[in-house]
Amino acid sequence: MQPVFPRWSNSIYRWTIAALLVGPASFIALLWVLARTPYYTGENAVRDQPVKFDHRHHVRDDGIDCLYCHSGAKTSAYAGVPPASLCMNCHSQIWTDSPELSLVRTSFYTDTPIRWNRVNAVPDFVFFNHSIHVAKGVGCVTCHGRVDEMGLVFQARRLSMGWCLDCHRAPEKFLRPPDQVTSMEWVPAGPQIELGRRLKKTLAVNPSVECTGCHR
Amino acid sequence: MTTSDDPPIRARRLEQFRPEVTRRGFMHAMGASFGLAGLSACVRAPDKEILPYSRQPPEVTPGVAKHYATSMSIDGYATGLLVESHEGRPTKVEGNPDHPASLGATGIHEQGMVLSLYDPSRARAVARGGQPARWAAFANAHATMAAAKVHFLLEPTSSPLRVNLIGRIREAIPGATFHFHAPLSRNRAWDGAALAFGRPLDVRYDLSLAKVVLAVDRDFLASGPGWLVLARQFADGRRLLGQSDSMNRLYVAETALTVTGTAADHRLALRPSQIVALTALLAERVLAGQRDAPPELLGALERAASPAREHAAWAAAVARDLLANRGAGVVTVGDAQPPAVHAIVHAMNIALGNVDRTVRYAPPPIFEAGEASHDLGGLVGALAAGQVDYLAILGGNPVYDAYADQDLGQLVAKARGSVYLGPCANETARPVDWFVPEAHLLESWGDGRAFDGTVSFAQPLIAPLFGGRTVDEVLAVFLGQGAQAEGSHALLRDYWRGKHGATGFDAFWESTVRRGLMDRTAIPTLEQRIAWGRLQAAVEKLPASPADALEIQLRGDPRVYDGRFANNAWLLELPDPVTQLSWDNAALLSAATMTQLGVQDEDVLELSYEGRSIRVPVLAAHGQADGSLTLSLGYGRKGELAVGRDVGVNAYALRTSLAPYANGRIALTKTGEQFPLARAQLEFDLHGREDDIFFHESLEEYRKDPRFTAHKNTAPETLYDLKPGAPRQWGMSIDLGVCTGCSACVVACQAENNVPVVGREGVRKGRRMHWLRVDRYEAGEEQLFAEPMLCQHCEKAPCEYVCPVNATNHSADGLNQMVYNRCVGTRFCSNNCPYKVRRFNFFNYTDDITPLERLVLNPDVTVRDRGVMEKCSYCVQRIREAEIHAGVEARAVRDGDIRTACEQACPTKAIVFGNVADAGAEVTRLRHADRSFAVLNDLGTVPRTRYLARIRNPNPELAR
Repeated sequence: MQPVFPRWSNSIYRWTIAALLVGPASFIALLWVLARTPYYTGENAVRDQPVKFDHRHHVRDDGIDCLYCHSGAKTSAYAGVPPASLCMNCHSQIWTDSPELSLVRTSFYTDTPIRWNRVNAVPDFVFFNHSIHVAKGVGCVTCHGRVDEMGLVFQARRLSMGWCLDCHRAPEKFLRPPDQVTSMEWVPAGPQIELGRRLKKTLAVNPSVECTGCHR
Repeated sequence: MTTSDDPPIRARRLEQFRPEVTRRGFMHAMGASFGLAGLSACVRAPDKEILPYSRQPPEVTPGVAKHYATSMSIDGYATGLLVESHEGRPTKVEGNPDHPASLGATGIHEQGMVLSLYDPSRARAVARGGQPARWAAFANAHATMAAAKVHFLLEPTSSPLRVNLIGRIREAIPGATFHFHAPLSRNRAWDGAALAFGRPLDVRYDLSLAKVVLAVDRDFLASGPGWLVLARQFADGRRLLGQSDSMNRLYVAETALTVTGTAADHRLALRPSQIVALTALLAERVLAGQRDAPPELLGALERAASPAREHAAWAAAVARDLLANRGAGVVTVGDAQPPAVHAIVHAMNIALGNVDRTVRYAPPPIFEAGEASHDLGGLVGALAAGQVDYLAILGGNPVYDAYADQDLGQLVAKARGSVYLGPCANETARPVDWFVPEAHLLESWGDGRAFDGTVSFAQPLIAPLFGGRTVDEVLAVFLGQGAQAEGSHALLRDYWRGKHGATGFDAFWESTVRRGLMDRTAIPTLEQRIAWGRLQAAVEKLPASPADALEIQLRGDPRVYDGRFANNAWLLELPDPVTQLSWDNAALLSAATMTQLGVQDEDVLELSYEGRSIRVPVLAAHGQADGSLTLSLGYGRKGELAVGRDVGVNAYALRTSLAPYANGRIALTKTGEQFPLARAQLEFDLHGREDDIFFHESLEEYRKDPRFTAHKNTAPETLYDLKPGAPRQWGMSIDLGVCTGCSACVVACQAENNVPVVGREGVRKGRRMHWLRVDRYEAGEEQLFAEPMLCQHCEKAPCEYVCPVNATNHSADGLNQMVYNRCVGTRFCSNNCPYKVRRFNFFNYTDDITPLERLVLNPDVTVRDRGVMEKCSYCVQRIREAEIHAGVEARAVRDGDIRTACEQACPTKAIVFGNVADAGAEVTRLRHADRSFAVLNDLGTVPRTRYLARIRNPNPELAR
């Protein structure tokens, strides 16, 4: 008897079953990969800024310490972006008529804030605190990269939860003496892991790996 | 009264009414939603901006909260506060530990006050005849009033600055008359003191020395001047740490059950008229042996006491107890009682030798207390006679809360001109010519005096959001300075510079503003001699026993007070501390009276008196005196209120100058209608599970067997390793023996943790979001015990086992963590929680609020979204912040560094939080105290929150 369906129709069923199995799995895998791409994490994304502020010049040429402008990093959750008045500490004396600085002067004299574009951001349900990281010997460069080599600042690291936990689970890989926190060029004299273990002990570094360490 | 088909809450967005959905429509919508929901994860986070200060204030570090001292006055009595500010945005109120009226604690009104700052109903402009106007126009128009008969109507004040301004206005405007009005005024107490001692006085108590306290219709554990201090002292007198500790005893006689009544060892529920008689009866017993008391007085007391004869045994026992503790007792009486009752109580305290020990007398800090200016009748007469050129109503809401028979709303129009300084377009704003928006307390400079007279400063946390003005600023306008009048900062500074002198003033000013109070400014107490003759005459005039009609008691509400907090969503949603009724007010009746009247819960009654009537739903109330009906004032507000408009019923309609607190002549009819009430707790019975839920025992039994809770304070046998994973282990102890159930903790938790409000319908559906609730449990006829219930942070938490996504799990330091961004909302955890403390976000409660209302949110706590479970976190944001702070300072976290919001607010220090792994910590000591037990211990959940059993101290003579 002639079959109702031709023989090749079996393949259709085989392929359909395979697609039903593989399709959802690969869709999930695709999302998993996507969440780790720089497109999604924002890693390396350069953002334009209203004022052409150049960290290369201020950090390397002028030797200004990170904490001079980002002083909140020592005491607060936020490192902080400096107020225009802090820029004017110097720029009331030098480059007083530079057109690049007109926005800073306008901000200072009209008391309106400069609208900077945020580069390093964590989601709203993450409560990151700068002060404890600075106190426990996590260098600025560890999370923010070589800002002294950046014209326009970009997000140097992934800033994902897995990336945070890499250090929270094994801080000895990254610790440095607290007096070298702002140094951009510091390298450990000996093996990092030995120094890290020593610092972990002396500074009582015991980073939280609890959910509520960051999510409150 | 509105009915259920006309939902009365204006803020419908709170209730998130949604159209009816069909099953098919639901499947359509959800299918599409689920399909698209996953895609949202593929979108990058939106770009954000950073706006730094252009000139950063030197004291501000973005991300570090600052606290500023200020003080809040209710009816003129100031309480010191510390207000938390995030970059200039106040979010949370705490008590000022240095302030004599706070001692670091707060009540629900202080906690809720910050929400009113961001109330979208607040008025935003000066108005004249309903049209927007300018402040300068108002000020200039009122600078030339010197020849006019200007009547000022203010709230009672103790402010030295305001008193000074009043004096200057009286000089500048010879025709000026000042009136002071508060619906819950203390006039009767002051009149009572005047009767006894010849001058109005405030009574100051020292409950720390008291062994026996008798409170007659006086809710001293939750209201009145200095109640936070009284609650603390009362709790200290019964905080048992061992079987040899002594304990005070509290007797309460009252009509409706109050917070104080629930704390009583013996309570007598009496109709309002019987309370007078009972006081006379008690006085008769106490004064019987008093040499100075004239025999005629005893005769008069005997006559007045006759309606309370059935309680003679009770009165005799209480009197004997008071007499046995001479000099260590306190008799106190509520402001609603007639002056003669106050005078009788003064005589009792004198006869008991309590004066100069537990009871002292001092002139009130309130300006012109007890004088005619505190009676609104003078103003009403002048208005009716057309003798008022100009009426300035500065603060308060007198058109709403004046006596109904005075009809102030109509009379205001008889003044030839008028102005109202008020918070919003409310009842009083309607009949006046000029309206000026009032600055919120957190926008104002000012001063005031605490109950003991200590001068307290108020400083602003934020510049006025809507150009509001303070009472002092408007008064200054009338001094002839018009628009040139100084702002409240300059007024206050200039006044105190004048008082203090220029030398060293800046240091004095800085220190006073920083600390919020001035040392050594308490008003000294005075010795008093009682006038027995006057007392006797007053007792003889006490009304004869009333008819058998149902007596109606009108009282200030525990939540909205006199109505001033009626637009505060936190306080409206807070269940009444005793009846557990949320949102509305109701006619409280005893079960027996309800049977007698043939009514049930939620039946609507019509109450009418002198041609005015209101329709109000009935609620059965535990401990309510038979034959009485209690109705709270302060609801049924009109005017442009976003939340409080038409919530509840306006009981002021029944309140007349002749019967302000109790009335036996109100006609009552059944309407056959029903009104759905939002009751937060429906079951009060323990069903015999005292040992599992609420341990309580008498002092005598406790002394015989102090470890009576030991079998409910055990860890279950387990194969698991229960060794702690971290050196710090967080835990909490709640002392049910001193918890009064005042609910300050509930509002404090709501403010600290961004807990949303769900509205009346939400509460009715059991969707209230409070992380911490105060349960009430019946024990015997007159007892209704309070038990704060919050996440117990079980070491073996049932919720954790059932979460399919590990959104709730345990931290090494013993916290039951809730991770919102993992939660998918299955609600398995809530179903498996035996304590029922987990709350589910059925809607995007916080998304719907206006940008203004968002300002109250605590930036340290995540704002939860729809579909997410939440619950008490032990204020983990405070724990982590303290740990980080200690880490930066390279030291260990100390005991007391971390105080949860509920612990910090608690007036009686019933809640103690800390590291239970630290043997020296307070919390460890309390958890190992002999009264300690775990709720539902037999389930083996090993809760980290443990309770101390309530010990009652009944009088053996009355214990049956």
